[in-house]
Amino acid sequence: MIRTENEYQQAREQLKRNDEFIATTRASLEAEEFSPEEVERGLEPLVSFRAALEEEVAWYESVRRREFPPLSRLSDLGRLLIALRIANTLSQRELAKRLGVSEAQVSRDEKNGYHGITIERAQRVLDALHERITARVEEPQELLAA
Amino acid sequence: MLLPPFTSQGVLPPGDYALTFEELHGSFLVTGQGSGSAMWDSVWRGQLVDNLEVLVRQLWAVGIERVFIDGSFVENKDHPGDIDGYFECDLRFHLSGALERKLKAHDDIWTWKSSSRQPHPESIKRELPMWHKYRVELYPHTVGQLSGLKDRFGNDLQFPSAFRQTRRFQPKGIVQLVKESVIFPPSSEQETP
Repeated sequence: MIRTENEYQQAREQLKRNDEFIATTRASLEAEEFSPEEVERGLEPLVSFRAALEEEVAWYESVRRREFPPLSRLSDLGRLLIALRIANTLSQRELAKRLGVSEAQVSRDEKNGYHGITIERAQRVLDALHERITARVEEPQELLAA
Repeated sequence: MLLPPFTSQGVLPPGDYALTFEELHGSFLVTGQGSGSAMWDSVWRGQLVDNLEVLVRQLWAVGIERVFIDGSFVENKDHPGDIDGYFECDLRFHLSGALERKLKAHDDIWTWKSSSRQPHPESIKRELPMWHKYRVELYPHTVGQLSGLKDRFGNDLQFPSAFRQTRRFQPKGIVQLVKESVIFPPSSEQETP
């Protein structure tokens, strides 16, 4: 998961380099006269690896635009807290200052996706971000349709 | 083999650490002993290792010997989402399709086609079938294949080298799964500037 602007910029640069390398690798395999099917098979891991990074970049860009997916599972709360910090263009250091904790603590919490966070602590993070989330109970039909 | 403790950056010191599955289960990567964290999820980490063992034994069964794991599982993280890794294999064995055919005889999840990646509520990106079933991703590395990543000096990284660095280009150690216990200290890979 991309959590900082620095990581985001590095990932974008990496995508460009990945495209160049996939092209280079394709040319190398073709030069060795592998069949088109064999060339594609050889590129599959590189293409998948690149696609995963591209989706991580897309996620960061979307939360920066405040496009958040619905919180349908409470276990996703940690990811939402990270997304809200990014959306507020707040660094981990700035959030730590607001919370009155060390930057290392925020870094570790985010690295762990706020795994095991208490409700009280999650609320403190939301308060520090000046954000509020609301929840609704879905009708059973909606659950079945989901 | 005993693992050295995490560095101050929360990663293993640079090097390859050869462990059997029994040793991995008994290491702090699973038990959390010495991690300094009260939230270390040893049960989940143990489950991931069990799943990893299923896949690695399938790789061993088709003649793949060298398998490495990396990512947040071998870092100071209470609850890693998955195990990432790679294995070394012959170029033609992979390109001919023999690798995938032989592996699929054991489990039909073995594919790296991007089109096979599917979304999952616990992930921000689409994931391969092996991730969906096992929360483990193992990529093939054929000798000489580039990963598309670079080191801090801008040099192309071989796929294994890419796993030996954090996203911030800090060197880190990785774990190799072996069938029998290794007594000697780990080898270190030196990057060429």
